[in-house]
Amino acid sequence: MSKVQLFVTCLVDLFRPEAGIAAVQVLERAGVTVEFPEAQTCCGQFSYNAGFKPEAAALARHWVATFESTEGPIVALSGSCAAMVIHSYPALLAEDAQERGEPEAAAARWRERAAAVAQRVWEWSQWVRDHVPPLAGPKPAPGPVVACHLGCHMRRLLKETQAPRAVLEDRGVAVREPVHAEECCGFGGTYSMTEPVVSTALADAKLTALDALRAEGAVCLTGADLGCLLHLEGRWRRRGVTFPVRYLAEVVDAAETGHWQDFSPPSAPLSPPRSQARS
Amino acid sequence: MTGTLPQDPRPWPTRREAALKNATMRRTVGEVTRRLAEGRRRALADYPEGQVKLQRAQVAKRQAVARWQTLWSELQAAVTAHGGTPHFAATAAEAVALVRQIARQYAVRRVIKSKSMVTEELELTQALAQDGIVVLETDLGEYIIQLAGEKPSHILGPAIHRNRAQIAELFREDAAQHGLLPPSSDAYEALTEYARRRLREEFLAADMGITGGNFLVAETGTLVLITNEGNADMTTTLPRVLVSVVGLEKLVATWDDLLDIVQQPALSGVGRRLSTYTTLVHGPRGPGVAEGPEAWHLILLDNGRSALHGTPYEEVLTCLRCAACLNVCPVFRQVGGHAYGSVYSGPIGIVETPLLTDFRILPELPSALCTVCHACAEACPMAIDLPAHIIRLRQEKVRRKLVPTAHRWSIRQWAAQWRTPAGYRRTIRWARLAQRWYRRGDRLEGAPGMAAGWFQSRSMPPVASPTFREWWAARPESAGRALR
Amino acid sequence: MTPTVAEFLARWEAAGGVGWYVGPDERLGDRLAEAWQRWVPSDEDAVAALWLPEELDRPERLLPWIAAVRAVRWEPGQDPTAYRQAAAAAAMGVTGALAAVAETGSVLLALGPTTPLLPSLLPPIHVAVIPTDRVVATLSEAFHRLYRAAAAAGWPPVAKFVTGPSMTADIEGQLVVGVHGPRVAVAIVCEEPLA
Ligand code: SF4
Repeated sequence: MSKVQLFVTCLVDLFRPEAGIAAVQVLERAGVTVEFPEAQTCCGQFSYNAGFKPEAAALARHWVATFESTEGPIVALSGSCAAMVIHSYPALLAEDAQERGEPEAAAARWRERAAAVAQRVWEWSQWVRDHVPPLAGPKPAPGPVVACHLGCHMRRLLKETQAPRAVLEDRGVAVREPVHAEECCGFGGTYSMTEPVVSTALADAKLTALDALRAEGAVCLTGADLGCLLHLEGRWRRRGVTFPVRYLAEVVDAAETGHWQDFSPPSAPLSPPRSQARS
Repeated sequence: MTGTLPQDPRPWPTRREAALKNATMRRTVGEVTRRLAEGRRRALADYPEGQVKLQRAQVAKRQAVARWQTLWSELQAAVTAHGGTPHFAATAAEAVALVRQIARQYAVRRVIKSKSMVTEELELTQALAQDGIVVLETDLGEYIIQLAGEKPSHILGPAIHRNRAQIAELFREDAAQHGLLPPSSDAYEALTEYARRRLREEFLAADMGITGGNFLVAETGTLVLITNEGNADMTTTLPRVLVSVVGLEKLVATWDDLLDIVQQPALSGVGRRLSTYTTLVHGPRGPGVAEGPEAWHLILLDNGRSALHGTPYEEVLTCLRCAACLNVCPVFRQVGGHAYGSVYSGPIGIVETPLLTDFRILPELPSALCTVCHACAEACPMAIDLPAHIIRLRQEKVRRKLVPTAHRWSIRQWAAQWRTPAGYRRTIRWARLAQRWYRRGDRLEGAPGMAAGWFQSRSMPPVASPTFREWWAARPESAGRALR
Repeated sequence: MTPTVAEFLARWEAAGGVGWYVGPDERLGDRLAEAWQRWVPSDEDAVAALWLPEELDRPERLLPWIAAVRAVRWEPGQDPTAYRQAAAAAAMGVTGALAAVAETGSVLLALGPTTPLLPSLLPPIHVAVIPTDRVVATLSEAFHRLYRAAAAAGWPPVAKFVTGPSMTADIEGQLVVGVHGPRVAVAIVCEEPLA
């Protein structure tokens, strides 16, 4: 049976464990063995995009050390964090080693280590699409409609726009993207904190586009990057809108179990871990 | 040597607020940039030959930028052979002095200009006005902003921040001042007709024309101008003196290189295979010719460009000013060009402005006007890795201590703690304690330090109990499978 | 009509121009008259600024238009200022062209002692007349044609590829034709008459 290493990301761990739990449930239901390297913390993208290179490199070294001792595919619960590891780590770690005065060979070694581990990284829906068939049995009748926002790094660095839609549609969920779907929602990591005004103007533009999908009866907003989702949800909540916002795996899990009633407001206490429903 | 660029004296928050309050500007900029971006996508989709040429053009431009000095020698020889006069200006001040001197030499009283970003960089119009010379912008958009006393807000559409009614008002005042019939209505055609009528006399009366340039071909001594209105053609053929001021990054080596690259500004900028006018200037008119300048002066401008030579930023100089990156930039769509405060706006502007001036002006640009969404990198025909340069510039800002101390401190603490699992767990404990102050019902509504910015406009869920890792550790079936 | 000519005319029209074809048994003068009638406001004093390649510049080909219209021509030795004023006052400019490009829908014009550019720029209507054998498939061929011509006779002070009428989108991004250059741009591809 296949085995994966779960990279939950700091945001899922801290602010939306339901997303990680759902990701585990879906995988385990399909007979996949999920391992969780508990030393993992954060990929360092926040620091990297803000220009804090040594700080980002410190986190990147820890991430590489944590995951390189494991085996099998690494499945990330964020397109953006996956892209960070795949696209930025090799050069970042090599340059950082040089800048810290390590010899050329050591820098080259870091580049290789980073590239080797990066090769194993998948964004969750990419791996699920290719390795987890939908549950047996008849496809559910025309299911609920969800609004989907894909993060920019998923779209442009991983060049992945189809996997989230595919895993949802395979399970009878209808997916709608807002107009101008390719436009950034304004999250941008620390940008959301250091430049909140422009960040919010962008969020408002995205929320306006999403309103059309709410009007069409979408049951929630979903996506493959929790950063974007927290930013959009946070903006909605501040504006008094309590429209449900769910990470992709939560929607897939609901589609597989039929437990759409779990789509409660984010405040609800965690439901107890479900028993493993391997059919 | 570093260059100088003009700058809007208003601080960023003021520029930003002015932009976000300007609903007309935001609507127009949004519509125009989306239309141009869509045009680009469509034009490229049905033109595979364009892609093939583009790949060669990317290589040719990078090579040209790397050996610009050699190409400049070749170009000087070719231009001189055609009867033109080449000059080199290391700084903006030198370029301005050269143009003023040329204007004096030919006793110039009236100047017409076709659109040029470089002359915006030099603030040439203002400098010539000091000598009592009347300078008129002739590109419609540039003419509008000249009347309004503004700077361009977009490379291709300098006046896209103004609506029709505002423009009609400017034209009516202008007509009154010059004793001309005002535009017959506020219709697009009527406004355009007014500009044609108003500027036609100026074209015929001008002594000197000033242009920029899209490309300079070293082999053939060709200056290439790409326009749509016809004003550059008037500027290069009607006045008796022609001055072209061109950045040194516009050099290309050969006629064949030009062939590969000449369509790219139109393809990427407006989604056409060629703009209306692709004008190739080689020199002053010969005997027996009815038009064309009697003298042509070509000024090659450095102004901070050659300092990028041999740095990781060198490829930035391959920019075509096609504006594709502006047209897809989400931040540009929100705030428009003026908010940048520099003549160069959009993704390329936030890279070039600090680079050309060595961060002496507008150091906020790389940080405040980019979400690192990578749309610009995807759009740029020259494959300039704009997001990578933006991140590199942010790193440079951290090194030069151009970011607030509080941010530096927050990020350092964050990284220092999270580089170990124990530190990570420690911060969770701290956060759980601290969030008691900020919790309102099921949401956090505030935070200290850098994170406070988030809560100006958004709420957050609190740190969960349990976190995912706590849930995992407590889960019976995890036992024995967790890797430690 | 060859596919290359057809593609040129189609792309020229896509760029906002008007593209016509004059077959071997048709008269260029009829189409010029048609253009004149269609776009020049009726005015006794309206003049045209004109030059054409020698093979086309024959009264028998230009009738009936040439009989009805006064045409201003540039003669080397003439006063350039007077010519410029006349071209600016002309109601229509008619010129030949060095080449026409199917790939981009463009017309290539090069300034020379007998080939002024002002008739293509100053009047509100420009008609470019292109003999069929000057229509080339690719931009590359036109570039090389210009390069070879320059190698033989020196570079023209100014040459240009014109692709449709003068236009702008500077006011609210709305496309308007006829800013500083012509509002109507007509390309007539003209077949050589059978011997
Ligand atoms: S950076 Fe690239 S996309 Fe932006 S203006 Fe320059 S060439 Fe065009």
